[in-house]
Amino acid sequence: MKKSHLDVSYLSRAALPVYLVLMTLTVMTWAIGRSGVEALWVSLLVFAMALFKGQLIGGYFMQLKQVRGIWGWVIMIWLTITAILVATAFILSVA
Amino acid sequence: MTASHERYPPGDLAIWIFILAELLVFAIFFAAYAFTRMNNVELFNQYQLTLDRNSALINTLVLLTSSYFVVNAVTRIRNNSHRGCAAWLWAAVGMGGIFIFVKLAEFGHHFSHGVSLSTNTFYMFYLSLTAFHFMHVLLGMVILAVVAWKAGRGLYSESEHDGVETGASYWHMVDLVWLILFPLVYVMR
Repeated sequence: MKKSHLDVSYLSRAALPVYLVLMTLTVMTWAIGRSGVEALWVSLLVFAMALFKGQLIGGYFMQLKQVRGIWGWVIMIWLTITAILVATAFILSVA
Repeated sequence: MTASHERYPPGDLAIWIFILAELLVFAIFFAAYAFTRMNNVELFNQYQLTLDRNSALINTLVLLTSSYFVVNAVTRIRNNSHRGCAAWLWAAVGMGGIFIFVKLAEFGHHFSHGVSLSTNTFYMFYLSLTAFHFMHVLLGMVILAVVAWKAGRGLYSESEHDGVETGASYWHMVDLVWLILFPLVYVMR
């Protein structure tokens, strides 16, 4: 087994603020859904918030912000591909 | 905030290959949902309203909290506190249990109203996507419980804790997928 050299103090400092942002954005997503506002831009805004939350999980909780090279980008790449596919389908659905 | 950089992600590299495979499958699922919805917008919007957004909110908050607990477990073991690590991991398993309970209640509600995979296309996607994710939560709980048990017995330390990082990475993936699933299936119209 290899020893991780990732910075533990960095993770400790970032964890709580990141957690609070994630919780806040989640409640905002729920509130938007509850408001009943139906528009493409609202759906895309909600999805953009989810993608941002995903990047926070990948970058901080999964610690990929501390990883260089392709492994540091894998979650961002996955989120980008998912975003393009889903956003395209939603935009075409109102076209 | 600055950080030191490594070449590989934390934990066993094999789990990351597994995580990438899982993420690929979920991306295909999400795209299939979105493109199928394109030709069935009214149906999807109509039946999406039958879903319980409050349960989904609770489950999202529960999963995020469990991920935060897992982060705390990782920081504890890196500070050589195996008991602290085990305690946070058991807390995360407990949050997973809450997720399972809420999700089963949600499934039970729909099943009691006669909903099944063959009811319509929306429910087919809703049930299969959430059930598939549900299985991942169960597997994640098993992994975290094993790691917590080993941590409690002092089998991990500041210098040897790959198992903790591996379990943590898998659990964060389960959380990550739900963060996309929640708005896509429950909120976006």
